[in-house]
Amino acid sequence: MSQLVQFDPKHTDLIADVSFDLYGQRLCTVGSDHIIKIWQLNGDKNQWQLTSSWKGHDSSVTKVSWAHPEFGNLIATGSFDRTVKVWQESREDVPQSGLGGAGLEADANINPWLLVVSKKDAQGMIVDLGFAPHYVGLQLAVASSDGVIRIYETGSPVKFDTWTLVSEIDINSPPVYAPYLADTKAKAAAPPDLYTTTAMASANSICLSWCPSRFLPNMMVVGCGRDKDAKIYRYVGGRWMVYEVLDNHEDIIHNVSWAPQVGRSYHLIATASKDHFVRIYRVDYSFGAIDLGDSKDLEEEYESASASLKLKATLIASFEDHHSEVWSVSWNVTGTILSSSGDDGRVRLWKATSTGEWRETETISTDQDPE
Amino acid sequence: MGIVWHMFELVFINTLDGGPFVDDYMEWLNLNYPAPSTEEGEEIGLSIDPTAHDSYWPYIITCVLRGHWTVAERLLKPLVAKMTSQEDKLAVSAAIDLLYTVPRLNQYQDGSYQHRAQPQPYPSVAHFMADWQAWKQKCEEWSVQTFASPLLTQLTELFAILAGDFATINSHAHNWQEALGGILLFGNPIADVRDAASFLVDCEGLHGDHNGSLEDTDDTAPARRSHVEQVVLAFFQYDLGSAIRYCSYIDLWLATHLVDCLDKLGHLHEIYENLQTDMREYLVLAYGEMLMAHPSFWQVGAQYLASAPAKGLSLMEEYLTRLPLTSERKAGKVLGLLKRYGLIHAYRQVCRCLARQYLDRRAYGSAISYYIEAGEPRRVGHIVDLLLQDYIHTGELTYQSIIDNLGVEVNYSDKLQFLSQYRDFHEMYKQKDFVQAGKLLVRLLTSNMAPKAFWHILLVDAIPLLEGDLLVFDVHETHELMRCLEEITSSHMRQTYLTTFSPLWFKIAANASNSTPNDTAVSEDAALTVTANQQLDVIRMALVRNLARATLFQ
Amino acid sequence: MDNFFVQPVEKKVSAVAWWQPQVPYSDGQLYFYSGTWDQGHANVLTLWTCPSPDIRSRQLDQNFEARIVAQTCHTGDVADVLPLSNNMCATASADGRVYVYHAPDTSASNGGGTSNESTLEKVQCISRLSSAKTSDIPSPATSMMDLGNGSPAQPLITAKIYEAPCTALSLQPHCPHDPELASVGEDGRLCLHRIGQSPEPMASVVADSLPLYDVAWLSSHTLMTAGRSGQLKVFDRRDCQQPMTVLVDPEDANLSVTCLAVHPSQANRIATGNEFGNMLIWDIRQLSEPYTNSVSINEKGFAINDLLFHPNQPFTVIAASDDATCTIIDTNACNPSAFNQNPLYQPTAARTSTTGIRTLRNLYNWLGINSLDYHPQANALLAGSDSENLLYEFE
Repeated sequence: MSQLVQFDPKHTDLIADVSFDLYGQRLCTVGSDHIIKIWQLNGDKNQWQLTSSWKGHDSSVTKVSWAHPEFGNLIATGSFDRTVKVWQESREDVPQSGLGGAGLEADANINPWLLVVSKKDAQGMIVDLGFAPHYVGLQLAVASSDGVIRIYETGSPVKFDTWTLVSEIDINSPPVYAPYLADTKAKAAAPPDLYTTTAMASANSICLSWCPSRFLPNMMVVGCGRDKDAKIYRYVGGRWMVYEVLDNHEDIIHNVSWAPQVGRSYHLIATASKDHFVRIYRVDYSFGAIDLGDSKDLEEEYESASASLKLKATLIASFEDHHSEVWSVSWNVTGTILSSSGDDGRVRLWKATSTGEWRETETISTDQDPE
Repeated sequence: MGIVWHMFELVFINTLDGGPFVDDYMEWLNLNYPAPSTEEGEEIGLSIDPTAHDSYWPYIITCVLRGHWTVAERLLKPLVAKMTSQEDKLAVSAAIDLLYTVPRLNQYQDGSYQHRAQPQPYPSVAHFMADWQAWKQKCEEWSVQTFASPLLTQLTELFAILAGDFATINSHAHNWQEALGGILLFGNPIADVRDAASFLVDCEGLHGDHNGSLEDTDDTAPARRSHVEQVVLAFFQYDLGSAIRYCSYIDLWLATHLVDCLDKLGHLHEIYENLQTDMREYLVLAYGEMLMAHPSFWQVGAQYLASAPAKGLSLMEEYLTRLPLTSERKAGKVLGLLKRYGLIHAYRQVCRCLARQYLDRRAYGSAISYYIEAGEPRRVGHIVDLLLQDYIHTGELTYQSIIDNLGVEVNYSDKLQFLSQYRDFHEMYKQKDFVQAGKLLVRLLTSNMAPKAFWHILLVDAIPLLEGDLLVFDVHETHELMRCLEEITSSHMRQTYLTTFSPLWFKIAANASNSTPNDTAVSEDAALTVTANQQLDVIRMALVRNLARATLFQ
Repeated sequence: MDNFFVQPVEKKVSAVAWWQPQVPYSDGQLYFYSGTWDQGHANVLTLWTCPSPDIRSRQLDQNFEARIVAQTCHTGDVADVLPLSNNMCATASADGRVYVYHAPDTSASNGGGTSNESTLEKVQCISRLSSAKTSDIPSPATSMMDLGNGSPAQPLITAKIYEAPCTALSLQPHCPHDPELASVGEDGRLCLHRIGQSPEPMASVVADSLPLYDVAWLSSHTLMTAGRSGQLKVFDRRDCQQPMTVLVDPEDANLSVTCLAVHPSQANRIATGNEFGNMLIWDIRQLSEPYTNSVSINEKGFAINDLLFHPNQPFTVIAASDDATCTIIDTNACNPSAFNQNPLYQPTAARTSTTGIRTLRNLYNWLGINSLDYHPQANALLAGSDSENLLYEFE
């Protein structure tokens, strides 16, 4: 089934991250060689062709993420140099050619990707970043090894040159639990002194994933290195509160991924952990007293009921098939297939059967010859 | 695939009346597993001595097993002549005769057998059974006889088959399908589907665990049974779960449509109960997703997804919003689908993406049009600002055609309306309808329709009206204009107001001083000499002078 | 409800057009072009032949099938195809160009005997942008450049000028020699081309700031465009800068007009179809006061993708719609007074009228029909659909 298209992106150092645009037609690769490259799928030959390549940072580029195309062609990159940069593919350099919207022309020698903004609030290197779901506007969450996730937002819906820091999640300070969790979790939490000690080595492993659902806005799951768990945060009343904890991890979490909800009554979150396991959690949500059906606008209904939101996570699957550290997990567009990659050099695909049981369906080896 | 589909029809659709199964089955068998081959038959027929041909007997027996009795009969005829003993001749003739006289159920029913729509109680079944028993009796008699001619060793077996001896049938059948055919033909011609299934245990090709599952355990069975066979067997056993499972190994299309039909026939309830899942939905979605993954099957895929009640639309939303919008035709079809299925969020999202694409290409008209479609007044407003800036940069009303083409849609947003009326102002000015133009200008300023940052531009536009021979503004209007001027110059935002559109300030000013606001061929040098503050002074002076004139006039 | 005859062709058909060769290859054969869309890089332009139903006593047997005479790859979706004289045809492509092809020599594929498929030879590629913008386009081939990261130079896709998809073509009527070809595109541009001459348009104007979907010549010197703005604009070919007249649907001015047809003999009669399945018949004898009559073709609001006047029945319009049907409308039956300018005519009655409407569909074709054409001599209706079918109806 699987067709493997192999190409050499010609990065002179490690490729740290890759990211597709929404349509799967473009690809961005970033590397430890400080270079950012944009690739375009040539459907004719099913090959990826380089369209732009530039030195984006003064240090290793660690992460890249595409914004939703309704904001144009926009990417965010994070680096060891503690900066996060937003780039926009722009045609500003094109001479005005009348407003009829005729041909536009860009000189191939000019990189059409312009730096829109560069932020250096982080005290450590950038380890993860992600754009929020498009319907909340243009928001970017940036995790850095100083243990802080910073959320930036643009004011204007069309021009994106001003970004303001709107909120922060500080993993180093004791988490604020949602009211219904406060009693149980706070007691079980680590002794306070642990938060004062600087545990940078494990703290730098932070990862995040926004909740893609329209009905649960302003929510993300964060893999908290030192705690060896992942917490679901929700932005309520001006601060991020923990609504649920995904525990049972025996080591730090390298990557988290929140699945698109598409028609399910519950959510799925996958984690990739250093303890060799891929885990899938099912997250059920309930509202204290939601009265659905009366209102025409479901979203408003959710909004009004959201004060009483409760989440409950259950581990529904865990796989040790990689037998080595698992570095990345990622869902397909409908949340029906999960991919994971690990130190065994394999990408494994997981799919639920008709009875809801998760099984491995395919293994892709990067060593194998594409022939 | 055809094999499975055909058998599905036989088992689940044709037999709703519970009639005998044998004819349908033989048709299925001979259609899908044709044997013996016509070539072989021709070869035997053309050989000098057909009876001596190696495949003579096997061919005849296969014909018999498959119900090709006339063929078998014809081939047996030359054998009569070769027989030396009278008894042997008689035996062969008897075989021919028996083959000729096989009682067929449908001969007893005057063709009403074909009338499936009106199930008949088979009034003549008893009659048929009597004849058939008599015929079978004869066969059995012959099958215990021995014959002298070495050529006739196989004839005994032929009689045994005719007599319905399962062991003999099995030993001559090439596969279980053929064996089942033989058993049905000669063992139980009035069996219905369920009975036929019970005969499966007598088919040697299927030896193994007869109790329910037909997993291969016997060495004589084929090492691996094909998925198609598995499906057919599962049909017989009414084991729909495994039937569907094996189907999905063969082809997802088959499984999907099979399940869909089963669902419509009401056969799936038990499966749902067993598996706690909606099999149809699962397969329809799986097949739909497969189609969606293909770059050009999305329209068909969407139809499949739409037929899955629980999750179909959510999946469709995800896929359709990820289609690259390469042309208006494609965009239109995607939007049409989204609208038809009421996926309003996705519809707006696609509109926003389209608008953004147009915006990147500076096709502002199209961008505004799609942002309006998406319900985005704020973004329309931003484009309006871009257009105003563009006007100030170039001094040309480049957006004029956009406003014209939007037609009544300009009423969508305040900013568009302003744009439209500002265009009208220039239009009036051009037609030297200064009074109307002046009135409109004052209205734009006083109704707060114009963005504040644009006020000074409007005031500059007022200069030629103020300085002209004709008195345009009355006292009240002049006061209003003065108020506006003071409001921006005394505001703490003054700097912002004056600089937002500042790069063009000079050009406009120069235009204004030439009293030809739309003339772009203006000397840059002249324009550059005028500074913003000077310009404001010019306006102030003009206003004062106009006030004086207006007062006098009144 | 009548049924089409369906022939699967395994590609979504976006454009069809009958072609009548000046010298027929053989008697009793009909010819047509078809173009596909949404096939990525595998779009094709095909010349077909099928037996004329005349010699089959107007009975289609089950084996009726059009056969490929010639086929060629087409860069971009084929938005429109238009047969020209001298065995040529022009296509509007979604890559923004207009292509001209030459059909194979008559002797090469004589008769229906041999099944040798030949190819359509591309003879011209016309850009829709004027030279000021095209002159300095870098060659489409890749250029080598140093990326400044120390690695060897890598090929880059050179940034190409964005050429908005071309959506429709129309050939200047009553002009036997060197007729002009008009094209419109999603950039709102109206271009006039002369075949066989400069690859640049003779005229290229922004006729609309919203995408244009269709264009038609009203006479040998006036053109009409239709598009997303819902405005029908009439242009004089000698001066395309400003429209002579702008017409809008009196009932809903902002609905996209998706297609446009001019009556073959009475150029003042226009038919338009919109995105919600309404068809409008216009009488524009008085440009300032056009007379309209509207017919709702489908209730669910599926777009009308193509329409044309029946060449032999002056009051009949045939429309192809996205709901997988073709509708044959007798505009007289729908509203007999429509063209008599009867003062008693009430527009509301026409909206609900269903008499005189015949609908064609087929069970095996359940996606939208994109294009249709009618052969005036053979009385053959041809259509192409997203269900990857060619559809035939012989009257």
